[in-house]
Amino acid sequence: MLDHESIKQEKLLLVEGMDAKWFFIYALKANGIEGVQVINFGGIGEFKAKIRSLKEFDEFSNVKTLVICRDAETDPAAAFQSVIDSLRIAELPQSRCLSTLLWVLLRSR
Amino acid sequence: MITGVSIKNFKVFKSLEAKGLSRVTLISGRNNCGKTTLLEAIFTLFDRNNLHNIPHLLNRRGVDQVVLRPEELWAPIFHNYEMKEEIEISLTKNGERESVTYRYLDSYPRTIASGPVGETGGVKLIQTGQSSTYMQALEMNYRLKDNVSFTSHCFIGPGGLELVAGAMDPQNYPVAILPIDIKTSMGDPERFGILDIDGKADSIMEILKVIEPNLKSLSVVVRGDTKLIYGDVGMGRKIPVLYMGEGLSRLLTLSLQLATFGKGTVLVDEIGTGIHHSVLPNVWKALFQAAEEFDCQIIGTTHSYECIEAAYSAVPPNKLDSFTYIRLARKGDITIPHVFDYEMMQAALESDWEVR
Repeated sequence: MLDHESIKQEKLLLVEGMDAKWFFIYALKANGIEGVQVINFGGIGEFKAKIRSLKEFDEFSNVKTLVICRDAETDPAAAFQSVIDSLRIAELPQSRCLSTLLWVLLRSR
Repeated sequence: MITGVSIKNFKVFKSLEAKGLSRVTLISGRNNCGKTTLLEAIFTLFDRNNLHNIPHLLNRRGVDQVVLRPEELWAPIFHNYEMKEEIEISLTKNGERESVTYRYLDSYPRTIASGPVGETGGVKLIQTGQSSTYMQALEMNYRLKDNVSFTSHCFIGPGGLELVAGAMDPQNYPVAILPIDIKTSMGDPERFGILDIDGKADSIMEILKVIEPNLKSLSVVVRGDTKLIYGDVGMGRKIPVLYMGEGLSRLLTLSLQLATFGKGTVLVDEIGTGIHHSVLPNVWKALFQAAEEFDCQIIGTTHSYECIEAAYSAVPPNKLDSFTYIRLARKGDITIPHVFDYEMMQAALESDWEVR
């Protein structure tokens, strides 16, 4: 039986979709970066529910760095703000040191 | 409906506060995290003015007899067996708070009647050398809705365990806790009788047919002092439902509780036990429907990922707020309830995250 996914690292990279997940897994490996767990949060519409759910896992209390990487789509400012809004709703724990970085990917034209 | 629970110093819980319980609430977590204890805490608040309230908790854990002294009778319900601390259990039920505190008293003054030892010329005589009597007691202080409060005392007296009830209990909210061992669920035939008289026996047939599609009818059969529910599964004769497997028997007990309870709460330990994973989604659909139909609440525990998935999958689309999942986690002495609503469960299960 396959194990269900759980939080195993102190550094989480949340990305949008399976393609992005595999890209970052191999990019991290190619650059010799260890200790980062890449998690697919699905589509951006699912992000709010995913982050609310993720923070309820026991191991989330061990997470020290949270990086969120999403596509800017047509409006980088709106993309940035939607993630901020979701993080606010999720009420991430304030009582400990958790660095959160938001990375909005712009499309090349 | 119970929507919140707060517990202090009760058994494994130093402190626990859980909110957001709903029509169907499923509790999970590692061994000894307090799943069953949470059910017991809820039950004990409603099992008021019952001399056997605490002994029942021990019996439920397999202790048939206990030495009549505080260290063995009452200490097990205190966190770390520490009877100096007060236990507090409070609930939010239908928007109002109800609570009980348990306090151990090692010198509870108790009046002992001094009966006449003789009679002279029509005048009764008593002994004069008696001293005050102090007992060891468990004080139970109830604070209920509408500012009703009363204090009862359970004490170890010369004749055994005794209770002084502080007041008549205005309790009108039924709560039942279903045993893991179905053989101890003796009230089923009576409950089925009530349902049958009311012409509602068919309502539980639909639930049971999920597991046993051949079930045609149920009836109560009396043999000597024993009453059993028999079922017709097309064998040419009826057989006891107990012989049809653990899953069906447990589902029968649960269905009867839901159908005869009215606006109450049924607490079920290891709710998916004995039920094959392939029928779990349909069993849960039936339970959601029954809970809604009979306006009853189900709070269950499980270790099974399949059971959690099945419960989530059975949530009625128009009643997404009728399901809550709570995973209990212990961190040192503190118990943290991780509360998931439907949206959070969807996020977790669709990502195949480990939610247990």
